[in-house]
Amino acid sequence: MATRVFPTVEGGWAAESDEALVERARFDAEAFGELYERYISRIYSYLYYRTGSQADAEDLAEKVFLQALANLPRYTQRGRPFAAWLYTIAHNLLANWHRDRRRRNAMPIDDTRDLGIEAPSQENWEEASTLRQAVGELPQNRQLLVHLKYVEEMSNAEIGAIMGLSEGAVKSLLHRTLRSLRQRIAISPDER
Amino acid sequence: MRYRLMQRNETGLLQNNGSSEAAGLTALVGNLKRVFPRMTPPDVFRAELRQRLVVAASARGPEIAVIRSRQPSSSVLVGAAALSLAGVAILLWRSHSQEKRSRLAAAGS
Repeated sequence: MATRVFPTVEGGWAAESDEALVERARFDAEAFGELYERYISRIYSYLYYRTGSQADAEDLAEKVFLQALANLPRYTQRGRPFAAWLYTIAHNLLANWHRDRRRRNAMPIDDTRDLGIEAPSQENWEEASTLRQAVGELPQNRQLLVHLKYVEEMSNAEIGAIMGLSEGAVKSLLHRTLRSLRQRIAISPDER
Repeated sequence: MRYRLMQRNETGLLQNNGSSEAAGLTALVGNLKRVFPRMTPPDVFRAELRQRLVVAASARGPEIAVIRSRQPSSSVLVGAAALSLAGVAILLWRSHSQEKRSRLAAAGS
């Protein structure tokens, strides 16, 4: 991947690509810190919506980055972005998490109310819960797709790089996913 | 617009005409963006984890990763030692055989 300019947490701009940072992180602890800053919000957000719990998202986010650090000497890029590698680690840890707990990943109501991310009205709350439940019932790869597209607002090309799909395949999968979501949910009769 | 999950015996909305399907998908995309805002980790957690990671990376040591990647594995070392021993054994056997042959030749003459 070519060198790009990335926004930093502090509001400045960093010209170092992920690949360059990964190489430097093999020798320089601070470089790994920079990689962490670049991806912690994305990984945390993904884990948060997949677990529905702030505490579990924090716990898993810590494991993702510790595992990435431990395996960095063995990581080779081979055309696969660092972000894709991180999401793979997160995905595997989530799979273990779900297996351990054997529960659905619907978001607990209290968590989101506490975080204030939802409109206060009961009507909007119910609608949001319905949508989250429908998304939570999607296959794993489609949940990741919805996350990357609508939470991270990535382009189809960026999503393709992470998921190992062509841009066209991402577009097609996205359309199929939206259609299946539409088939899963209904508009209340009094609202039609 | 209020959503609810479809029951198994209900007919999906996609049986409506094309324009209403497109409008429905557009509305769905808008609702997905609204319902799933980007979440950020708490500042304290974020700072503490970064600190832990940098400490862990420093403790690992910069040269360890390089040395580890260049060091031969233990199985390679064991294999090399075994080959060396075999080589020494062959050399000893050959020199012993040559000595024996020369002794026999000397006795024959």
